[in-house]
Amino acid sequence: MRRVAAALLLSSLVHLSPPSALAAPGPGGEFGTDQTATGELLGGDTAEVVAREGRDLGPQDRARRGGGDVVCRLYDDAQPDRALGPDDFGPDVYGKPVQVLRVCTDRDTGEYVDTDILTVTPPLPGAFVDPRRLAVMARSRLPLPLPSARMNPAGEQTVNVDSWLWVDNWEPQTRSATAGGVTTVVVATPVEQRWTFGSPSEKKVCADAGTPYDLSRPASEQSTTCSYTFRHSSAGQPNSAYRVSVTLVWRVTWTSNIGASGDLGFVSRTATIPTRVAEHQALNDSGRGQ
Amino acid sequence: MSDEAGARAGYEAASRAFIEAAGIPDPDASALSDTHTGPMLDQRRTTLRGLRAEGKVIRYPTPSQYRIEIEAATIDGQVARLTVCVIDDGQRVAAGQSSVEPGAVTTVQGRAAMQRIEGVWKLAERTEENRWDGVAGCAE
Repeated sequence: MRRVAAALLLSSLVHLSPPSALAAPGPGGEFGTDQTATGELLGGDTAEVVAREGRDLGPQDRARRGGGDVVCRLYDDAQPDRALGPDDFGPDVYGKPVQVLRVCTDRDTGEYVDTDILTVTPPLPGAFVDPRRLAVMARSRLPLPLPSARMNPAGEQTVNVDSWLWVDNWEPQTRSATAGGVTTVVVATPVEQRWTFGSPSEKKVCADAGTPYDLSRPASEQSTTCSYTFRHSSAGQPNSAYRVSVTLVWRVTWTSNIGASGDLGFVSRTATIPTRVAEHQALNDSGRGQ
Repeated sequence: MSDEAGARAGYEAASRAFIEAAGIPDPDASALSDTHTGPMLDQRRTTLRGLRAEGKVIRYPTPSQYRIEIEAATIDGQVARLTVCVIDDGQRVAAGQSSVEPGAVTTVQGRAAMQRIEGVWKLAERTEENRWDGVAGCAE
């Protein structure tokens, strides 16, 4: 059993510490990603609370570029310059607390995501990190694009005619974080697109991506569950257009290779589309097809 | 010097102290404890220990675009809360590398809490609110 644990740890350390990763320059100066710390003065929330509320993911109306998977390297804090290997966690230290310096970087961008000092107790690889904490790190690297929202007809809409609604980038996003043999995978799965059409009461919620309207096919052969019918023209609105907003909502869940899993709640991004709506007579053929 | 001016100066002094310590790197630099306190002092030291463990330093290109803009400041007794916008082009490189070419520039908007301890404004906490590639966002 101990050999298995040591082998697992060895393989993870070999995987986690490629020399090229250490030699490569990385961004992250005085205000690098790891250069934050909060307590009572700014609201001493745990990383989990911050993640649940989404505050670490920036404003809802701005896309987040995200990054890559997170990899962490481990060092003996008492003897820096030396990465920890399986020999450091042999049977002679089982059950004895060891202070470990953990440095976590984004594999794609080189950004320093987190640097922390942990007290761990061998032999369990899982003792190196709380997998939920890893999940929070991985979550911080998720790219969160604004919804690529589409309507048919494109451009101006027509009163009393169904406008088809869909989102082109209804795609799950995945990132992982690995430390000391523990890997947590975070998946953000789109669950909802929420549309409002100029006022909060005029809304439509769709639980799928919607169906793109195919201009090459007859309207009678197509259908959608995600559409909206404007009842009033946008004349009289500022710039003669409704401010249509589209919010794409993801649910974030995580799993790990040590059996633990969980839910980090919802995140969303909102785009606004100025939309003109005109009144046209005798144009209702119950389909689209512009 | 007004409280607000003192807090602003304290923030800038903290940044300078970290940049200087990160060029060595020296987690025990006295300038850190002169300019930082609380969770932020711990985080700065931990980061510097991480740099040392990995044989890295933080370097800035010459000329550097690094710049701090303090957008707002409020004073509440011995605590000041700042909104800051920082253009940061620092790079983490091998310790033997004495200079760096201009590379990635990041703009970060954050909130900071300064605490006045024995008359000195020190950086106690900081959080990141937004981040952009290049000179963008709050720096525009």
